[in-house]
Amino acid sequence: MGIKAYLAKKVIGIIITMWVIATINFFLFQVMPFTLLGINPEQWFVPIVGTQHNLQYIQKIRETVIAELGFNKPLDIRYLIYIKAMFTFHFGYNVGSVLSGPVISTIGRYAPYTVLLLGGSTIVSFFISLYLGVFSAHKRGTPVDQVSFMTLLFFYAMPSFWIGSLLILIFAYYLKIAPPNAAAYFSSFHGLAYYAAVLRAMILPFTSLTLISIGGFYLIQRSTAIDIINEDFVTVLKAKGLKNRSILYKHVLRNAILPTLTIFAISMGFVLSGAVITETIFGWPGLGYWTYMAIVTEDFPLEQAIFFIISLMVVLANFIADISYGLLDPRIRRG
Amino acid sequence: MSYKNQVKLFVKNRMGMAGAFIIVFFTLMAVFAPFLTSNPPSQTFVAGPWAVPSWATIIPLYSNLPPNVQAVSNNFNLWKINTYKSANYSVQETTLPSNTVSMTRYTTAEAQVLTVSSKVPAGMGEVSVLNMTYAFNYQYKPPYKFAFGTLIYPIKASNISDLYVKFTLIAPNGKVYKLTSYTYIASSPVVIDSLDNGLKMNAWNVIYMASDTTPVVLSAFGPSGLTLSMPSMIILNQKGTYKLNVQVIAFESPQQGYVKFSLADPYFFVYGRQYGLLGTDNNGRDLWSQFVWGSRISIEVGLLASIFSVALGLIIGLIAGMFGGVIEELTMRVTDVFLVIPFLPLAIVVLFLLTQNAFLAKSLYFWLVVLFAILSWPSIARVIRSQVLSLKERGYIEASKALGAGNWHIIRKHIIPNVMGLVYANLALSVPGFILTEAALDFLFPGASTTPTWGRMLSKAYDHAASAVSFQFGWWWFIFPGLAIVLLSLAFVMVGYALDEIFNPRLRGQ
Repeated sequence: MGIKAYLAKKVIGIIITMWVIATINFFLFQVMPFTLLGINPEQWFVPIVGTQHNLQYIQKIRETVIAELGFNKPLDIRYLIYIKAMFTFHFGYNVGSVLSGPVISTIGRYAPYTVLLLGGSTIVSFFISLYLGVFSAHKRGTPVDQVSFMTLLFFYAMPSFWIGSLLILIFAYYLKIAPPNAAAYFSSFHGLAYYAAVLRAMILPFTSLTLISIGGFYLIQRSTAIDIINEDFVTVLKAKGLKNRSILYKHVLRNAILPTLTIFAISMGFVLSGAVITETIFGWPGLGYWTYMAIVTEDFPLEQAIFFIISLMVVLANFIADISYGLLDPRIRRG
Repeated sequence: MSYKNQVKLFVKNRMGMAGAFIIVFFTLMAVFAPFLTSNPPSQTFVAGPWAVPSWATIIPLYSNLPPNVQAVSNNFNLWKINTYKSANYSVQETTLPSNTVSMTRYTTAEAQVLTVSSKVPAGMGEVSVLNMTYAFNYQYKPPYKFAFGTLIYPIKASNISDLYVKFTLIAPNGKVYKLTSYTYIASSPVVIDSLDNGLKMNAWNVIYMASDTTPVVLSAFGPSGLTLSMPSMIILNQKGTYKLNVQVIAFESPQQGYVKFSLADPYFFVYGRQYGLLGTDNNGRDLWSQFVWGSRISIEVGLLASIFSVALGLIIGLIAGMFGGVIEELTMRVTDVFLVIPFLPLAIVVLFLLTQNAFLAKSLYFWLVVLFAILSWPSIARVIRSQVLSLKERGYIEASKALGAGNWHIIRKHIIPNVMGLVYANLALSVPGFILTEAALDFLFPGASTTPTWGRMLSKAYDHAASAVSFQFGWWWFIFPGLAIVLLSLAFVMVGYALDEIFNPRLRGQ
């Protein structure tokens, strides 16, 4: 199979996958609000502005939107319109009690927070675990290794809401050196101070996420490094009289990096899906937080859109990973 | 490898055995929950609010905290009794009607009844028909809550306008607390009712009052500097001999009146600040009981979801691997979709859906299991399929085919025995994810159900600890459910790895 055919096959796979997800997404939310919650479907696509003098405006928007998205039409037509809307990223309007405006701009506004928090902590925990894994493999069997292995395994199995709320209780409520709710804290700042406040509020959720995600990388890095350390070339390097540090952190680390890098790539795909629990607990206004808040405030268009965007990002990340492997390793293309 | 050998290998595997031990421990806890706990998990005030675990009193910070104390006796011979001049009284042993007896006070319904009959002179204002005092020694730190009360049975009342009971506590330093007239004792103003609108004639009336357990600003009453506290912490903040005074007061009328009544079961109960194995929550619920009953949901959801998803994954993986074609293509497509569906957001949406429907909400955890199974079988099917594909290429299966074996025979005799290792390992390894997700859902939506679970415990612990942290840091409420989740998850991981090692000889000896 040539490169083009390989790409084509992958792209078709993506389209089918996204179509199925969009369909599930459509029917999930069709069932929910209409029959169980009794929410007027028209309300979904009407921005909540709330004051009397722009009722006319609301009416106009309502008519436009209903016509545009076909909410006065039967289910099958609505479905087609919905699929079309997914292609154009027209997700409707926020109807919750907190947010208003088009859903897509809400997502655009809050996605950077998620990328900052999750991207940052994933990268940091990746690099820490690269070195820690090799170090542990080198010290294999000694108390240092056993302690770090058990500690990180413990962190790995820890529920994120537990470590998160523990950190808040200790640092925010007890010692009072960190804000308990990130968004409430930094939203009162402006200009440069705002960015400083965001970084300050990020410390706790960042620590919590890093502690949790470090375990997965570490376990893989350690087991690969153990294999690599026993390989012949390491013995040769030792015989050549290279310094231990240089052998470990240059040669062993580089050779052991591939499996960890794979997991890292997959994790980066999940970055936009946010850490629902951690963001919620810390009040970090990313997409994970809004995944939770959309349900709490009954903002279903937002929930539906987040659901779609997250899936799309994961699919795209997997696609990019597949493609790069395909380019790097011709054997995969054949399978 | 024979079954016996596999068991032997597992027993030799230290990590696997440790994991198995933890799982057995929690399973036994879940199974024998009714026998391990003495209170239902939802029963409030089995002790005071925020009671520390009893064993924690070895920490100096928690030394000398009061346990549950029944401070006064219901034996009237131990009370100092005064009556109005011409009154007379008698004491008899009796059994109290069961609906009036609170089990937190006494363990039996056997009690003494004091019967008083007295004239009430005209125009005297309040007449203390009965005035009795009990002295008790209190040597602990102040409690967060106390309660007091009595049973009263008005037999006859003529020409009196009112009858009520008055409780007074005299502190060792001589300070007098009128328990029934200070409105800050109980959240609703104290009403020991008059005959007209309260006490029923010829029936046992239960008079029960408790101090308020919400910390309030009490600087007006308390020692200076103590701003956030509870009434009980001010009233019982001394060590020494307290006197509880109970008076039954008849209110005059223009003519001379007469009153006859019985009194039983007077009590003054100090709710403990240390209780049981895990202490209590903000409403005095037994946390050990919540912990033990909570293990049920974690284990049930984790195991059932894992069994369902692995069973489904095994069947579909086998079909896809063996027969290929359309089924295989379909499985792979479905797997692709399920692998990218955001698990937790979907679970949140589905949980929300379930709670909207009273019928579905009843069996909430069953539906969660179904959801988990539906979302997780594809990855297992994929693993099984690739294993089947590689097995199919093995020589002995080709030989078997050449000998004329059918598909069914090959599956039963060659494929299934060889994928069982994978199945067992997946069974164990998929449990922690379910346990963690279930706990996370309970943590995010504690109101979705009333079943006690570890996630729900943590959610409430966090909510209340955050609001009350300045006066009480409820670590005992917060640490143990979290630790249990970690331990149980790790135990399944350990067993899973051990099984993996046993069934994948490639890994052995590494």
